Amino acid sequence: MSTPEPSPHFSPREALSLFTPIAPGRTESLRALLDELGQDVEHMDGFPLHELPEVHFVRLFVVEGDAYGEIPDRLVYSANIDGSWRAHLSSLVARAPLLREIYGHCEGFPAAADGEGSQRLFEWLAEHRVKPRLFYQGTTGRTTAQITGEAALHDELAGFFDEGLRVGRWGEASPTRIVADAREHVRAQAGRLPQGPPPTRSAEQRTVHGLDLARRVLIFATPFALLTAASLLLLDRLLELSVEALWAPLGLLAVTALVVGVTFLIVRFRETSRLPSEEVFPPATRLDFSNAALVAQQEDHQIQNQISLSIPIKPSRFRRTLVRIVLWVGDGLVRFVFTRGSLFGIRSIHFARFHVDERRDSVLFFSNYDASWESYLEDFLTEGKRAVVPIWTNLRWCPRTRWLFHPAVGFAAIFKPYIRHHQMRTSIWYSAYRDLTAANINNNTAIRRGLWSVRSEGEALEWLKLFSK
Amino acid sequence: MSRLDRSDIQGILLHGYGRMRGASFLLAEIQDPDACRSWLARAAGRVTDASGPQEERCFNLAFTHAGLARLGVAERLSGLSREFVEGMTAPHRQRILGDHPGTPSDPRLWAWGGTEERAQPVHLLLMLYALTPSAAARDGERVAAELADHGMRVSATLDSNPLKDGKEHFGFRDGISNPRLTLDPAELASQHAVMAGEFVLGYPNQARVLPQSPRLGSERGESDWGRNGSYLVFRQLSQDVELFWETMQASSRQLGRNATHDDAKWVASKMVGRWPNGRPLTASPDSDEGELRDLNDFAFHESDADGQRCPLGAHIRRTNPRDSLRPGPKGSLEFVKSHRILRRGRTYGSPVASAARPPAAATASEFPDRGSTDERGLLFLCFNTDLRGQFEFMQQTWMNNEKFQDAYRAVDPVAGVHSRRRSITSTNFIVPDTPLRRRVTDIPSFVSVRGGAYFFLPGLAALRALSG
Repeated sequence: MSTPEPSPHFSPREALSLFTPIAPGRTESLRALLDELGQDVEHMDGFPLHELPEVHFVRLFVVEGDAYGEIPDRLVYSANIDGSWRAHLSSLVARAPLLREIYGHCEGFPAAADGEGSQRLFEWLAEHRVKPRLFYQGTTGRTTAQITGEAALHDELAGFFDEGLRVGRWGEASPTRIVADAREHVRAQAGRLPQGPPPTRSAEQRTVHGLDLARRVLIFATPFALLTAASLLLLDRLLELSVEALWAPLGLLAVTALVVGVTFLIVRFRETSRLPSEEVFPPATRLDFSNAALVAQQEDHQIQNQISLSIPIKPSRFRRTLVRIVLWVGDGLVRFVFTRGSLFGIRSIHFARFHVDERRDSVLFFSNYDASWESYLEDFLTEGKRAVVPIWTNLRWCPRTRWLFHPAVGFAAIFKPYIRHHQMRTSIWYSAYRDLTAANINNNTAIRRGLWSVRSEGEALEWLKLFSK
Repeated sequence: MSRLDRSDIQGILLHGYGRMRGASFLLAEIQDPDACRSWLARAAGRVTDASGPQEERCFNLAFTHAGLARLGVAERLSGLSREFVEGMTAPHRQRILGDHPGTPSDPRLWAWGGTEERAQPVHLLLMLYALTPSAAARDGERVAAELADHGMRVSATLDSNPLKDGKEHFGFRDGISNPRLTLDPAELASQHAVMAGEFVLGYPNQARVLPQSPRLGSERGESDWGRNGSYLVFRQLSQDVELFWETMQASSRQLGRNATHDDAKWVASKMVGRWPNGRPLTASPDSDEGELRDLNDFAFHESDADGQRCPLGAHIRRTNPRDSLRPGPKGSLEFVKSHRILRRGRTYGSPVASAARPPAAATASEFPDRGSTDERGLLFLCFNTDLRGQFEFMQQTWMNNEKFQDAYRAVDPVAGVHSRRRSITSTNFIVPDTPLRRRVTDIPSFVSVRGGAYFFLPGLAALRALSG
């Protein structure tokens, strides 16, 4: 038994978002340019995303400003990449000459193009970077190269098993024997197929990850700690007693319960009170579905689909604060809890991100997902409702919710046309692995891991089942 | 709402007219709207409703959006579904349904309802049922003549030809599993009970709300025109029976068997999920003998979670996944219930084997009329109140989805096509086994679409409103 190659490191992946204001009157010509390019994203001359190995998904589209011209239309560049956003932006500046033509439509674009100009372009673009508030990954830690390599591994092994069965290679052979043959087969193709188990976090990466977790827990716990201290102090003064062991937990309990209770009562009151008519989403019978038809045109050209949404936050300070808190907590959850390809049971997301658009007081949501729009929305309305309702309940025209967590009766019937109505047309959308679902990618990694780790007959049987899909 | 208003609901929606062996479907164009309206005023009285015992003949009718426009009502209607308004052949819908340009299902090639420029428009569907096929055909001729006198022209007549034993042309018993409509949520414990609002407008659906129903505007205000109506999907599906059984034979070799009759039948049954006589593989994986014919009270999760009996990609497990989807048994059943359809299909064309007996497990060499170009297949009709959430969802997310249940490249082996990749015309099929699954590759399409359209089947009062 030879030792597999040492693992390369787990890949840190980033979400890069650039928001650049479009010069007045230039939006339509920019859109035309992007739409034309977007016709064939695999061969965009002058914008060779398919030649940039760090790219997973990229989209470009226009977020419209307001009708009064106070907020300009903006061009959004949104990418999911391996490594740092700086490296990606540099290679984009160096290898995508069309970048200049595209961004030439934007305000403040540094006109000089090459040499020193490249550096200026890089810096100008970097100035427009906005960090997402929440960044979810369904296929954590894998580079594009790893994803395509492991897909090749699966395909090769599936064919190897077909052939072996055809010629009767394994007769009554034990499962471990079949796995051993598979290992041998993969080893023989060292140049073509990834070898050894998939990468895991290095010690350094684990430390950074752990520190981030600690930081978030600390921030999360601080208000509660302060609350406790304050309540103890208060109790101490009020009762003029010394702080005995019993008071601490009681005080904490009482104050927390009071705060939580009052908050929820306010929320509940707002949820159950009649919505002002301007906050009720137009019932579907009154809805013009031209936007739905427009965005649907762009869907189902491949296995994956994408969605870009912009929805204003409800006009109250409470909601503006709450949605930021929810996104912050959510970001922690997706970084530390939902890291295995399932978000409250939803397994069809490759990448998703939320921004709060400070200029428009709205929430932006971009997602790259598998299968149909209809099934994606259904996922969010059934299993994944806990990932959706706490955020959407703070947005305008959202159908009624219960306790900020549950959809009320009839939620789905309104939610779907509501989402369709706010969906934005994406001009360019590129995927580096358009035939793979997140579930495929995760299964492929499990196959690779198991190939080198399987020992017992039972484990071998379980591993072989990964090919029954 | 405690009862369905049966006297206002067209009969075909609540009954399959099983006793009527004959059915004739007329597709008509409205040339003179005024003449058509006056005909409708009288014909409304002949339309079979769902209240009484069925007579010797039944008569129902439905309209396309173009038909409603021709009658001048489309612009007065609000809240019609987008799918119905855009029609079955909208470019995006072609991808969803797998009717790809350049394939045999290309809507430009359709015999009716297609996109070819000179194609005659389809406005109206008349469904005539009679005790025998010949009686239905005679009724069809009579009605066609009647329409001609009232400013309408029949562009196609599709006569059904029932096969023995309730089978479809591949030789399998069909139409075994249909939802049972209920208005009482307490009855939903039964796996086939589904809220009536999933199929009939005007009643609560699975989400316990009223499905979106078109409203008709007039000087006196608005009325719920859709009430007691439903959206009707009609697709003429041509079946290549010889190719089917030839492929089954070849596939049995890929599965390590010998291409005998029984082997071909076994493979085909694996792909369907039932034996030809209707017996489900989950209940009876090794043999089609016994008393379990047409058994429908079974589920997958408990006894067949990983598809060792009925493979995960089998036809019946895709069109009705029962309790086998990811949320787990209870969640899955509930989820599936909001995506079901009410089927009312009929077979057409002469069977391949002689004497009206479809080849339950016949091998290709046994077909007497081998090489014949006869058309045969299924006149697929189904009802739902949400085309996108039910019929289209089932097609796109379950049947034509090569990634269904985390698969890699496998659509419904019997009736599916790759919905999003028109360049791929074949599919894989995985048969789980121990220790190693077997895989059939390159299964071609056996089914192609010859025509189709979305219709609206109005309630009787709504029908009278059209003629007024």
